[in-house]
Amino acid sequence: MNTQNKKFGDRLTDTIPDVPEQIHDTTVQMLDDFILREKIQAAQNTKTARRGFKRPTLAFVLIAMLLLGSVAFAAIHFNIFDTMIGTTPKNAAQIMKANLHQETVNNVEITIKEAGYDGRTMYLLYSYRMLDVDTVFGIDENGNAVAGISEEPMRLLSEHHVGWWVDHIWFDGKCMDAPNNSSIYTTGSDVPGEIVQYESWRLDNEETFLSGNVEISLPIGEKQPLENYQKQLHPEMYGDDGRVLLPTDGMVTFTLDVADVLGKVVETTPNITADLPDLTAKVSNVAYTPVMMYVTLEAAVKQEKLDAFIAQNGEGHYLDGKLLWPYSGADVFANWITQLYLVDGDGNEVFPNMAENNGYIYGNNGYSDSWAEYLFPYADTYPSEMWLAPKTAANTFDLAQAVQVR
Amino acid sequence: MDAETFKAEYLHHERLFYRVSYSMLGNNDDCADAIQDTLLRAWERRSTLRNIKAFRPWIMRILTNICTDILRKRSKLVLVPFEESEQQAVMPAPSSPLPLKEAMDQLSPQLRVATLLYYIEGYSVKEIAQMLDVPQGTVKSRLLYARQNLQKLLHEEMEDMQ
Repeated sequence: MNTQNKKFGDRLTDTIPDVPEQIHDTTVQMLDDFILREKIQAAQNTKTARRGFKRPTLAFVLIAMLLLGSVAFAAIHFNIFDTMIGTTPKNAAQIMKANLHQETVNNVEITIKEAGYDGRTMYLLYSYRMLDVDTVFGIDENGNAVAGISEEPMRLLSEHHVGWWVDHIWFDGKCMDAPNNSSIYTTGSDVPGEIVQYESWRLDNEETFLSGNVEISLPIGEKQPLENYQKQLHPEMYGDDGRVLLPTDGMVTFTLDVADVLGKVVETTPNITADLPDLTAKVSNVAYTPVMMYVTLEAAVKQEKLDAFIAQNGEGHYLDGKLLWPYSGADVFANWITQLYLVDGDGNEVFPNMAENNGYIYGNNGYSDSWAEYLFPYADTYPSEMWLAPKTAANTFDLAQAVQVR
Repeated sequence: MDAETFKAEYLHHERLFYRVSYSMLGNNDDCADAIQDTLLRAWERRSTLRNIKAFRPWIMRILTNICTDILRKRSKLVLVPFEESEQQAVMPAPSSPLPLKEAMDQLSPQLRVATLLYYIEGYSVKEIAQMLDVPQGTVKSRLLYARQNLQKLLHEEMEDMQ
């Protein structure tokens, strides 16, 4: 290209902005999601090859389970954890129960296949099988397992007027709002007309803790008109605590024996404040459950650092000239708070290659201006001293910028 | 092509894809939609890409088709084939020169994209033709018309540009 053209090109460059951070972040998130789904698919294919995931074999497994109860549960118990975590924790079998309930609504067979609770999270695996649908949604024409679910099966389920119709769960008749940091994943299976739901519910985020035999009611039966539950129109549907009373219709109820899992949860409150350059932070709570380690961190940005950030970067996030939201503490320390690793007192990573070895959900599990959560794998023993520390180079962590966990 | 390769290839060309979508759509809301739809569609059809070296033009075709669909829905006008619109391509000169960005905004999306790819990204006519899936003659025509219109709008002589 000649000089004149290049000069013109340089002028033109100024007329087109660079990739906005928001678009870039969304793009990276989508691309990472493709990678994740591919890994899940690869894991399912491996197990498929191992078990010969053919319909007669699966039918045998289900029949065996019905005959033998929880003993045969071991054949498929890893599915919920492999899907929701990436691997199956060591003690998963201790907390999971299988074949808990089945009923048919509007020609849809609803089966609670697995459920379990670790003291913080409830795991559910259930299915909708449309008895009048012949299509297999989980296997493609080449015999490979399909990741996720397309619109068509969900549309068909909606036409049966069955499925989740309100954002609550009831425990022993008491209503709980759908908690934060919960996850849902949907797939097909090799059974015609079947949709499988994998769910993890963070009950602790709604101050809900379970023990003993718990009656769990899910709004996944026949869909009910939501106007019948509007408080202003139907106050009789609400209890004295202001929560929705257990509906009489549209519910699927089963009993889960969680025994004394709460007695197996070890909880600590370190509360050792770290005075860092941009913020103060402390780990306020650590819960060691039979399958996972939950770490809660509290943070507060230093005002002078926030002021300096705003002076340098402006008031906040703008899009097409409009202020979407003002900058806050989370913007100042986002890089630090999302890149913390669990290390021992000598600065060695407690779980090296954690995502690959233990599952993709471990690590930072969300943050805000004042809070962050981290999930780590279960271990029989943990180091006597542990920190959340940023990585400065390969296998090098800065304990001077760390927060003590233990 | 595995997902890691898909990600690496896309991010390598991310700036180009964004700039093309912005030059066609002119705002980040539509760009975000176009890019997301492009990623989903390309990922679903990744098995159709036989040669990784064709990744860029392959994505570009998907992206420009999606951008064109957005423009159609936005304007509710039928976008006539470029050859039919040639007669309307030359604009009258304004009384005073326009800023460059305003001048670019006056161009049709097809002319803007060709201008972007040639002058900013430095692609050859042949490469642009492959990316946009149009004949090389069409690319040359678009660059010619873009140049003529920009001359009038900017009140600048651009005769030396080739």
